[in-house]
Amino acid sequence: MEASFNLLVDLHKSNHLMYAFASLALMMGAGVILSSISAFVLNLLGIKLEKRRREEY
Amino acid sequence: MNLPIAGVAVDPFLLILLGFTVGVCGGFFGVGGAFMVTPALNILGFPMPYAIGTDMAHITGKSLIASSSHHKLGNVDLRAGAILVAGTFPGIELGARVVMKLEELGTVEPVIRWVYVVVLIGIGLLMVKEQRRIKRCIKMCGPDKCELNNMLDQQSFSKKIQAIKLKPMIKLPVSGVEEISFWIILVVALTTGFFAGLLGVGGGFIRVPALIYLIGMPTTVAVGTDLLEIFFSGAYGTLSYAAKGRVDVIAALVMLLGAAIGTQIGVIATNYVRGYKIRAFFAATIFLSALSVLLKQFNAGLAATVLLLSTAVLMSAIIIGSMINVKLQEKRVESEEYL
Repeated sequence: MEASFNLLVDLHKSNHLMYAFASLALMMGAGVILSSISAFVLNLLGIKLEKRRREEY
Repeated sequence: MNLPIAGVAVDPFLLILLGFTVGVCGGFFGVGGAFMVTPALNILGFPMPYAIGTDMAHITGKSLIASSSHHKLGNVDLRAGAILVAGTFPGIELGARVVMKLEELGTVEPVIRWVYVVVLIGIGLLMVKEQRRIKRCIKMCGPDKCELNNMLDQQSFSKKIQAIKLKPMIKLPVSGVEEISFWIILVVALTTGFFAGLLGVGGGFIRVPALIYLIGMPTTVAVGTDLLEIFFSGAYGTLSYAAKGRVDVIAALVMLLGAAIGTQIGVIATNYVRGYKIRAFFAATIFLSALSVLLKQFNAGLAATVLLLSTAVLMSAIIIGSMINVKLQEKRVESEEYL
């Protein structure tokens, strides 16, 4: 964990363009992974992401 | 926690809590929440460019989670979303150029703040007017009939807009819109993008009401579709700010830990709370935001930020409370039926 953070800090110092693409990829990747993990945790708590029949307005 | 990129030391629990509360509001209202997160990060010690850039990165991850969750619920109109993305970017650019012009004239800050206040109060009043009509209707005919009446009434203005036959006409089946001119959606995208560029915000709080009242989208579809657009503008903003070295991606990742849970709760809550109630909470948030901008205008910056953060915490508590309340009611009904 600390090694990857250091890698990001070094990339920020050396190449901003590479850092930009790495940041975007990281945020999108983390979004996908955290989405699944949080959905799983909420599912365990009984809060489910499911379609429900109800009036729109 | 030491954050060497932005050069600050911050308690990670504060970042997670900030991500969580703004995540609940974002998933529920379809806004990025930049107007809350950026000043909060600034107060935590982030220099302003880092606060904006880091917020952009966090919004990208959060809106990806929120829009994919809304997509699973059938709340994302991809066709309208694509036109919104295409129209919003030139609008933002136009708004940014007006800001540059105002900067040359030396009037940028007061002009933008007053435009902000007028736009926020205008949208809020429009929504309050609708709420008063709904309350009258509930008294007259009970909640279900009222929702139908409200739907018909609310659609009347959007029906007039949909009646403008300016080719090419497109269908939006996910939004339940039979036919609407492509140009109208593009104009809505350009205008909301212009305000986003002018006011320096994501524009969700303008776009969501515009999609509901002008295009005629159901509230939940407007929220989901807007979050799709926010993902693209957030990604563009992240690239732009990170290429200038102004994104602390580690802080953004920590915030995303809280936002991932908060966003999903916000999205799920749209499934339990009726459309007109979502709009009522939205109107309250808008008024409190307008008040905070007014406080800033009168040199009470700290009070403005405290008010914004309290609004985020209060709204997340109300949203979660409303969802739990509906769930408990449903359980009670189920157990009564079982007996």
